[in-house]
Amino acid sequence: MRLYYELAKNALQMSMAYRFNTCLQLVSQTINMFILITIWRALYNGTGVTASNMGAITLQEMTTYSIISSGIYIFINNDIVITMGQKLKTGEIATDLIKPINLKAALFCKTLGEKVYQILFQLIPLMGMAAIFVGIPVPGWQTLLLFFITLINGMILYFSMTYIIGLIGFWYLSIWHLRQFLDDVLRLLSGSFIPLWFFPTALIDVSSFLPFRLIFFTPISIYLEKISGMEAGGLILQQLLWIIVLWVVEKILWRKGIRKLVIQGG
Amino acid sequence: MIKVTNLTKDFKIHTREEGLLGAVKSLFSSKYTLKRAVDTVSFTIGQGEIVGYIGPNGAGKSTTIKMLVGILVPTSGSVEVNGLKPYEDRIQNARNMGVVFGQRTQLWWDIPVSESLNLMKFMYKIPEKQFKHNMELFSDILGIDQFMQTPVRQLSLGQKMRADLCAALLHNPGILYLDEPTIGLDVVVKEKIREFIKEVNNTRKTTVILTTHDITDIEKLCSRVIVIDQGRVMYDGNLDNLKTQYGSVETIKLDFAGSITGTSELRTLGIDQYVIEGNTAIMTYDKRQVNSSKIIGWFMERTEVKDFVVSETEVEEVIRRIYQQAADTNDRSNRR
Repeated sequence: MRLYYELAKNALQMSMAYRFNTCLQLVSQTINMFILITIWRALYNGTGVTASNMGAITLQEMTTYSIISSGIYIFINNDIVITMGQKLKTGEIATDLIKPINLKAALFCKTLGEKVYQILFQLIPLMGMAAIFVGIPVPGWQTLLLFFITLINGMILYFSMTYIIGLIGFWYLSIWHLRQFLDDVLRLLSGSFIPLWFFPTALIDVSSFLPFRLIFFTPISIYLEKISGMEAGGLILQQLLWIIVLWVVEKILWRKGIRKLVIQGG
Repeated sequence: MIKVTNLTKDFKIHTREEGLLGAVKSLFSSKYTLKRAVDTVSFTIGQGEIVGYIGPNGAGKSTTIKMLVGILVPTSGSVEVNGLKPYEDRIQNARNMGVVFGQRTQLWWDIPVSESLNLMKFMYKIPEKQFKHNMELFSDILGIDQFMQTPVRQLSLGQKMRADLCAALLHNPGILYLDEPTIGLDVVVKEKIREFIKEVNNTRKTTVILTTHDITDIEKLCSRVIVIDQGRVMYDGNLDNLKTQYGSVETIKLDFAGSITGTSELRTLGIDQYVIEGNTAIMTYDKRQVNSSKIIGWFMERTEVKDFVVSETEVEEVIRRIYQQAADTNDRSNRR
């Protein structure tokens, strides 16, 4: 246990070594967030409220939606695909496999360490700016609790997805494209950009069979209190189910992949 | 301790035709050829041995090591290390071994050496007392304290290697695998590392398996060598035997006074080649046929011997010959 704590601490320290990177990312995230808000303002065109297939949505709600979505992005985002891709392409994975640690656990700790750093130096500043310049309404504590549970589950889900793509690297060395693909699918089906309530019913049906909406749309809808407590419970159950499904997929890929492993570069 | 039986590893190599058209074709059909990197290799290594695992580039040395440490899964055959199958019990096997890959570091790139080593403490659950003791001992012999606070990415190759060795041995592993530990290092650092390995082997009875291209490594460290080529074991035994088996040729250089006649008689003594220039004779012979004292005696009967030097075949030459022999047999079998 202590080891994993130390690994997370290490990742945190390593993030500190790349401070400039953090600043740049914060700038681009801020720009992105304000672009989103501006687009919604333009789309509402001074009307304040619009109809959707989940009832009326106010501009205020849409603005909050965009802010929370930007925040979730920082919270779930990781560089597992890049890390795994590099490990496999350079053969560096050999040095991970000679250590008495579980690779996935080590990667997860690394992500957690980086997360602490990003929360302190990206998420808090970004939310601070949003609170000052736009304002963020805060729901009651029961809602917040549900929000944080679904948020953390979403982060685990996204971690599993990226780890699975990383494992595909055992067969196919250029997994960067797959990450791009995951990001595109996520942008469309997770509700990170456009909420599912503006979707045509066909697309809603498709997305309800997939885990992606559980990462962005679920926590944000809970935050905006568009979902009742009972429904939220069902969604948390779905998240847990998907976590198990992805975990099984990981296990299978790992078992098959490790037999395929070739250490690149001797 | 280590038991390897009929170990075999095949790699699939995708063959792609040249040019743009070839690249497009390979999108739709993936042809591949099988390459056998390790071919029915068997050996047993006991505790406390230092074994040199040598062979030309691409012989299958590293592949074997990677199966021993549990990174690669054998295609067939078996590996057993202390009763464990390294691939199946990778983590448990890893607890009792130290590994140094000469070409890459297992330390964390962006943090100082001291913190990397500290992480090792938690990774291998090393008791505080043992950790402290080892750190003192190793930094003494390897001189690590000079760069303890430097991030690994800023270390020189020699420093990195020393830090890696230290990291690999902090948990007192029973087995140490060294994959070209002295590659690219200067003579002084090489010597330091050899002494260190020897010391660890002596005091802790650590089993050491070492691949190298540096003949001095082998001469100074290994009691036993396994020579491998094209995935097959060519020789397994002690170094002296290797020398007598393949290195039975000696050269003698002898200075004498005055002149000498009847040198054609040297042939009947069993000397294969001789050159006489002025007052110096250079002769090569198989030492199983004739020994140096007989040759010197022959000269002393006829003239005054002023000086002589007998040179044995270098290990390097011995190994070159094994490789050469292997290549020849391959040629022959291919022609057949």
